Amino acid sequence: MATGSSGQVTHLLRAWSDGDQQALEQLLPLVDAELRRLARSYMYRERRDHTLQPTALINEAFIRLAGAQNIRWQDRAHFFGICARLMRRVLVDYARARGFQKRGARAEKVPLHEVSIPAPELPVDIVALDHALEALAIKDERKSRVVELRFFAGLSTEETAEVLRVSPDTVKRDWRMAKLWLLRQLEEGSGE
Amino acid sequence: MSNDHERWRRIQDLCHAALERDAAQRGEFLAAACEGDEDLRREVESFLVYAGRANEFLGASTIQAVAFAMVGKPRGSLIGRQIGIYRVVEFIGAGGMGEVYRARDTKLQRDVALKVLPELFVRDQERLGRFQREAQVLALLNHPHIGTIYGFEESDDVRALVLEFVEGPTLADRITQGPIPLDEACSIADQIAAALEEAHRRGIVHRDLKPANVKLRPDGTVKVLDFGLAKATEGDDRTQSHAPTSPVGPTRDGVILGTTRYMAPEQARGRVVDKRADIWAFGCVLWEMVTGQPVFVGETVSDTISVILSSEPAWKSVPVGTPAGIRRVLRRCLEKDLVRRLHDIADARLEIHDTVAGVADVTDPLGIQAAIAREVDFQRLTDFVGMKESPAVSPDGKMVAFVSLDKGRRQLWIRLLAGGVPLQVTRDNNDHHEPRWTPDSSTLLYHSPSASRAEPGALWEIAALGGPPRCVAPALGGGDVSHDGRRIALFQSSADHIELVTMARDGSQRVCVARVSPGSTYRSPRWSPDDRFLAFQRDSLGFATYLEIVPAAGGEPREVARSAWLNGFSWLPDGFGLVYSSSQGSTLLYPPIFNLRTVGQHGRDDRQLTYGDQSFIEPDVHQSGRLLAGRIRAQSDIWKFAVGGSPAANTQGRTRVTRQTGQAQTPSVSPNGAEVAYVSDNGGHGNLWIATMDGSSLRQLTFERDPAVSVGVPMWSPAGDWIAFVVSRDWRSSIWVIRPDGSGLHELVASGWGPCWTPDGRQIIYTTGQDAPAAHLERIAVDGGTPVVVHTDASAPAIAPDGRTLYYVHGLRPELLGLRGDLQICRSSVGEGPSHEIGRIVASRVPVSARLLMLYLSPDGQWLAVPLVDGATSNVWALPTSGGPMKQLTDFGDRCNVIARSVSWSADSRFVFAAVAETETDIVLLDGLIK
Repeated sequence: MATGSSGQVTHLLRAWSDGDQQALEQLLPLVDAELRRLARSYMYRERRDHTLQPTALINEAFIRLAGAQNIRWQDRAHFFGICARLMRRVLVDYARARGFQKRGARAEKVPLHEVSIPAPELPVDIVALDHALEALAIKDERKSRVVELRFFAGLSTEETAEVLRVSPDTVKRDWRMAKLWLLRQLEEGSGE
Repeated sequence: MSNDHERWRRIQDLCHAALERDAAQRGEFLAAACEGDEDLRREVESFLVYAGRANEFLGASTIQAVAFAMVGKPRGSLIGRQIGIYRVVEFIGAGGMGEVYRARDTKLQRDVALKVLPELFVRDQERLGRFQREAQVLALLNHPHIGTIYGFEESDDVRALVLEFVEGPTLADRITQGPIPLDEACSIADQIAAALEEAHRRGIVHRDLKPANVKLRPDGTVKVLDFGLAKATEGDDRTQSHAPTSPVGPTRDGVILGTTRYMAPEQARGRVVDKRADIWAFGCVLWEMVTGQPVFVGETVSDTISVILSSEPAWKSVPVGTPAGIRRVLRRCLEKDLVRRLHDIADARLEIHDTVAGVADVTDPLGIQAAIAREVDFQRLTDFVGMKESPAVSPDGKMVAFVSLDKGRRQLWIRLLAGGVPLQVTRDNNDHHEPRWTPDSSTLLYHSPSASRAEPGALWEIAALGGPPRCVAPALGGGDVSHDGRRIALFQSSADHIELVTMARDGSQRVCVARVSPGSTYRSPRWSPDDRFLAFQRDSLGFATYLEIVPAAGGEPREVARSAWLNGFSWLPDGFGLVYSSSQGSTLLYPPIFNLRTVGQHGRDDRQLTYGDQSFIEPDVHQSGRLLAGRIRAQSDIWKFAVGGSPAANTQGRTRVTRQTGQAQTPSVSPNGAEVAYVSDNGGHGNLWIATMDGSSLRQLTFERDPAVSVGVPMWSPAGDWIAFVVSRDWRSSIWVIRPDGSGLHELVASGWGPCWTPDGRQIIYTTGQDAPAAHLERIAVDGGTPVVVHTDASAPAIAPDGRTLYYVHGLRPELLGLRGDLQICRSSVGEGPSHEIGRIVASRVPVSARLLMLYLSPDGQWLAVPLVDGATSNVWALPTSGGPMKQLTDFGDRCNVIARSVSWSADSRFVFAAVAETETDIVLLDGLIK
């Protein structure tokens, strides 16, 4: 991915943050590969207990794709919002494409030469979670955004509060209630 | 705002409030708070039941796992997928180059390893192309210690390298258990070095040699994997790509840490590397085997590199007892200065061999290691034309006894090792087999068959310098005298069993050592040097021969080695192992090439001693380590014989069809008579070839390269559009078909042999029941379908031109393959019906290399051709289908010829085609091969 596409990425990013959903569809494949390449090298380079920062990853991906000087975030909240939405889409697309079900994944250690990395155990069915989040958004839009920001973008309570312009307490309550609601939805809604 | 919204608020408030309380008090709290609104209470409770799980749910680790899943492919996601002809069976692991699976090659019915290339790699077309080209070059590497690349598979979304599947742990796994004992480390190092030697000879550098790339098979064979792949996967900039600090491909990201430790200084500096980088890595690996620790370690990649560039290995951590030779190899391999580093891996091998030989003298209790020696004196002990077999060296080391022909009979001869003319010991009108010496070197024990063929024969003794023979005891085959001279060991038959027995030299004090199943033939019991064990050879109908050991005091025999064919063995002087002759690695079957191998008496440390396309059989090792063996040189070509004249005239007037230096076996002539299909080892591996009768052109039909697979016995269909043939692997035999233009290759019968075509060319009838007590015949259409049983208790089918009359061999039983009994040749009709015997063949006349008798029907339906043993040679004989005496078609006289199994008729039934191996056998002495 070279500078040739940077103008395009900048443009799409802007269009999407202005509400153009078409732009997201075009943006995704561009971001996806870069994101995964980055994530991969982070994963392998860092120690196993390293915590992946989705926002840092996405930031780096955009900088690589578009060049730092070309990306003008309105503010931190804007950037976090973009990150969360994008991360959600990337992961859901990925899980969907791979038919990656929770049930299919097992925890086992596989040798990667001398580095031992635990094989992924997926504690949640990402596609089902996405569906449940859509349902939650209809019921209570803010709670779905709290989940998106906290879970997909990895934001703290305070950062989430900043993005949503509510108090941290509200975020805490929303987060707790949203999880209960999603758990119930995932359990009971599986028959839909 | 709607009521819904209000109610949702209410539910939330109640949830939060309830969660403030202890779980035990929530019920009471809710009952009160809901004020009788049961729906509300139920709804709130329906959320609260998840409270316990909510803490963990969507935690930080979840996104980690999800992201990780995204980064890697879902591991093992290809299991169950069909990729080309490969069915993915099992996930083996993930390496720097991608995921590795075990898969089944559904065509060749063998396991392979699929190395699936990472997606990002595959997307780069240019790089992928370069990789494929490299892989093609690497696929040319074919060596017993190199994991073979079979090919490259592309299907919709998967690009995978198809590799030899190698069982067993990696050397890295093994080293985690600690340092490896010196003898084993030397054996492993020697095999790795052999692999490098072969690759370097072809200009291929491994570039990523490390313990994780070395597999240790359970049989002791070492295989080096991933030869040259490091280069094949690298990016454009060659110099750059060696620098670990600038990883280029996806392969780099994951493997830097692992690879860095074994990286030569020039490699770490990013310079272009040559074979000396492998020699460095070899030193690292040897070091790690000897010490149990990597030689260069750092906290980080750059630390490790700095250690490699600037620090000397910690020589003090090499164990005190490590021989000087191994220390020298380590020093010369781990020399940072390229110019001063060992230039050729072969030098390391020599040093290791010397060390092993030296160590064996002093400390190695398992003299098996001593089997590797540098200098071997070779001496041919016989110099006359004709067969010689069963050499036995006298305990005083001065004489050799052997079997050779005189007037068509196998007679015993002796010769002084120092020279002189051989002396004939026996002269009676019988055959004499397997001479064995008594400890005082005065007397020979041998086996003679009885005059009546149904009887087993007996062991006899005779003074080596001649005299009247004395009958010792009835025996099924040759026996052996214990080293204390008191007892003999032999096989005898009882009512429905075969027994390994020992007895005093006068035949008294008979003791049964083991009662063995009659489903095999047994031969050559041999006392261990301390007389505590007996080893013997067992041939089963299951297409394998076994070397087995049983305590002389009695017990269960256990397997030590096996191969498609074994041809004699001897204990090593120290009694800790045996040397044996094995067809292992020979991809020709009729007959195979035999090489000498050694194996520890527990079946470990199996290794090859001799190489090449001459055979060494029936080894006998003297206490001094001097080894005698039969040496066979054979060259076979396909010949055309008229059948109308006398056997001598037919033979004299024969014409040569093929002309080559190697082996041509099992011919089948095309129905139009223009071409002949046969097996040839042209190119190193036995494969099907087609030659035009006039010799004007030659083409290769199959391209098998797996040393464990043999291809043989093509049978051209009467319609000319298919060729059926047999594929043997792991002592199983299957039937395949291919079109004469090389297309349409597929397996028709998973377990079967000896196919013959129906006259319309639409079906084959074949023998099956390898594991059953008796073989039977089945029929299958060339297009596939369900096999139908054609005849029970039968083998070797042949179908008359009428399509209904069936000829077969009745009552094929394993024990009949020994020296006793007759094979009945019968006529019946397809689908049972009454059977008539039309002839009998003495089982012992079936050539051993053919293992099973086959019938080749002439197109006019008048004759069944069979290759049979005549003394030291083989000839083609024909049985009239109307019954009556057999007719001899060829006569090779006293020449040691072997008919390479098949006989093929010309369309007019006036000629037969047979592959004739002209063989020279001699008794040879190899001094120094065993120490």
